[in-house]
Amino acid sequence: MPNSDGGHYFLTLLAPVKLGEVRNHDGTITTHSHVLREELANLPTAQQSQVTIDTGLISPFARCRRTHFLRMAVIDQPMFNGRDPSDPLVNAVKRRNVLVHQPFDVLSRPWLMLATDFDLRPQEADQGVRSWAEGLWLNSESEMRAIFGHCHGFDGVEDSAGFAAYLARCQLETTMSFNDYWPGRPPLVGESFKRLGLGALAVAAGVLALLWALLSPGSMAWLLPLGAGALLAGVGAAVANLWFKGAKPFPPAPDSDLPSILKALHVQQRFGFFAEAVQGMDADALHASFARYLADVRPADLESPTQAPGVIRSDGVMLLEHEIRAPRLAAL
Amino acid sequence: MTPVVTAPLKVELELGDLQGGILSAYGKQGFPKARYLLLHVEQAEAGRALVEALRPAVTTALRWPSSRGISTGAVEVPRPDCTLNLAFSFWGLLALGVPTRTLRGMPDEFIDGMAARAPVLGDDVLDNSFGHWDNVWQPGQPKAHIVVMLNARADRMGNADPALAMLTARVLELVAGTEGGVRLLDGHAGPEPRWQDLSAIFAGQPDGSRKALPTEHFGFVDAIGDPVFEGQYPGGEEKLRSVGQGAMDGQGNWRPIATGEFILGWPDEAQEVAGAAMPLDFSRNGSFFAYRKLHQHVGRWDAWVEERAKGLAASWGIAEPEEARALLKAKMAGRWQDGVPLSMAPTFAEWKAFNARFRYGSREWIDAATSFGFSDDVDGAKCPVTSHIRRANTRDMLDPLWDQPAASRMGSALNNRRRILRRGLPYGDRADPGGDHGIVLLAHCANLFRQFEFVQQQWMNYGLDFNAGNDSCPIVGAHAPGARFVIAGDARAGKPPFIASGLPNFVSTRGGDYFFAPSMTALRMIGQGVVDPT
Repeated sequence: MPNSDGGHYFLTLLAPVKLGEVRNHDGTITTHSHVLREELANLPTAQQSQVTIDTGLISPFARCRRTHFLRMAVIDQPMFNGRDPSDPLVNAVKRRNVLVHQPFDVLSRPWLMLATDFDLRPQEADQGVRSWAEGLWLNSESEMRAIFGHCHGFDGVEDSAGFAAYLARCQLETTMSFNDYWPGRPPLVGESFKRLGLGALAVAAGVLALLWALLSPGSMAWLLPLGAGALLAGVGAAVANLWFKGAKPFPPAPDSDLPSILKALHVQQRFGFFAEAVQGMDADALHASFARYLADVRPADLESPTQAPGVIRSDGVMLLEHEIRAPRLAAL
Repeated sequence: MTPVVTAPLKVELELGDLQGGILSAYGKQGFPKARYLLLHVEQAEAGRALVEALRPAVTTALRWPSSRGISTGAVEVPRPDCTLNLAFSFWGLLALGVPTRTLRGMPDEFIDGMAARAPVLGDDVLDNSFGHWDNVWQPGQPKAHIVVMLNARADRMGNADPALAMLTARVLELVAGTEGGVRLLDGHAGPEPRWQDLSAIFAGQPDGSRKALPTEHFGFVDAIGDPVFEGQYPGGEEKLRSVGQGAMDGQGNWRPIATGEFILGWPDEAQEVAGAAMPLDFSRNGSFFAYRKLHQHVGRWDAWVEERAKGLAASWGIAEPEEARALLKAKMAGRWQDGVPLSMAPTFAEWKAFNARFRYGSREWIDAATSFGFSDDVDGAKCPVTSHIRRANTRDMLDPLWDQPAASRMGSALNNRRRILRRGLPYGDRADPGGDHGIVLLAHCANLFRQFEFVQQQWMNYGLDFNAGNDSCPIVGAHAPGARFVIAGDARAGKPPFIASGLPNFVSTRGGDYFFAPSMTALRMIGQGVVDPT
């Protein structure tokens, strides 16, 4: 599956973390991966609770109205799943020494993984990757410097264009994306073995007829080899058809860009209160109230009023205070 | 030689090895009075001696002679006047000297205990939080290690059988005999701080006697939709009861739920015997439960229902205030107050007709009141999708293929691993507005995390699985500011949707913890100090 899917761009990148030692803020000497992990851990989260709202801080990724999801993590090593399985009987016959260690993969260094899902821009040549990366720099340069400063090859990045170029160097192809905005089943038409088979036969018949007409063979003995070749072409066509269809991006869910999603959340919350308030109204009063609601909420206006990224309510209702009091273990 | 083909054997639980009160609630077996005592073990040896002293008195799951004519086995066990059962918290097992290797096989949430799970359970918000808990359950206090559960019969005036006081005295005497080795924890709110007294709600009869009711303080008949699992009931009884209470396949067929969902050491709904603390016979035939002391704000409940019922009456054109109140409460619960489900009787008239058709409490009535699904009521026009029973037991509601031909449906597949056995009894008197009254829920299951905590967090205190956003259960959920309960309209009947807003908290946590109710085998090993995990 390609990088772009369902109207979103799924960007995956791996940036090599610097090896060698670094002086930490507190003067101690430590590793780049150590400080990098600390920087990541200290990034503010979204404002998901009253406690996080009270901090006044918000995730740097909420400063942008294109990013649906972003995650960073440090990958140290690929997991070693143990020795390749082998059949003891085969080993015995082949006199394999199973005490000899098998090689296992290691990474040259820790790598910083960044996986994100943002609104793609079909009108831009690269589907909006560059503009998104430049926006990330412009919105959160200090955080990006603090994080990517521990990555190899980042030194020398001084502006948004340089940052976008750096991210492009680190990009991998995303091979599995996640579409979460379909409210029902997407309108996809599946293939069946029957349809594929009929298609393959039709192509095979056409190819055979064409070959027969072009080559006009003198003997019916040619039917078998030419038929086999045509059948192969038919199967090939069916496989190509499946391959082509499989490679096509998933259709975008309606209104699944971030501004629409945020607006929808806002409209939905406001509508809840509207519906509650107009219960029992007569038709005229309801009509007038709904007009006021529309004028106030402006459902078609994606800019305002709407929900800000990184918050979970925009209807003015306070979130519950969570009492975070860890139980004492003193008395067991 | 011809191979012998036999049908697979049915699960036969060794009833004498299981503690009583798990397979069926004592309250339903004629024990409407109960008392729970919490013990704290200071010295392992004294604690084990106390367990050993009480062990012969522990009530098992063996069936007593009853009028139903169900066989009781070769040796008949007389029905006691008061039952006794023991369960242990993680810290209790540690204090009693259970070996590390056994303890480390215990589930995380059981080791954490209920207080540490407060953010998962919603016990860190509103008046569910520790500041409102009974002193005995305060996280800073010495932990409950052993809960001694006594369930007693009652006389015709609703007084507990004297055996309750006698067994209580016996426990106190044993505790006193340890000279500080084991302490009785006090600090229960309510009239007696030394223990938690519980009682079914009694109603006066014309002849002056008092009869135990199966209801809780809000007036609902409780725990009707309790799960039925393999080995729980003898013979044909199990098949009969599994209809409506077991697992459904989406084509109208029911079967009992796998034993391993409730009793450890048996195959569960994932067709595996889940890992458990070693040795096998320590965990086998045991069960975990969450002890939840839940306060019921009856004054708030009455006032809110009274007020919102007026709105519902106006919106739906209901003339009788009593009918509107009954309907609002039924919409919140998913059942009319006597247990008749909205799915079978969606209107007041149909409720009355249901009870005219089936004799209340008869076999036919129970069958009709339990055997239903929700897939024919996707919008909740009959039974709101966020009502209590659709959250507690989602039946076939979450079937992702509910709209496909019956043969491809999944029925209750997403529900079968989320069931709990609800035990326990009400406590306190609702007549006292500022008093201590509610229900102590004992939620039994094999995996507290997957079953009890999931239902509490995702289904009671959240609404995403029901496409209802943050809406929580209108009755037992935590009600944040802005909480509302939506009753779906019925376009055919010309009834608009009704939004009942301003939900206060009706039910609040007052304490509790996670306990392990071991088998009689494990109880012996604990008492004798011979748990051998090797």
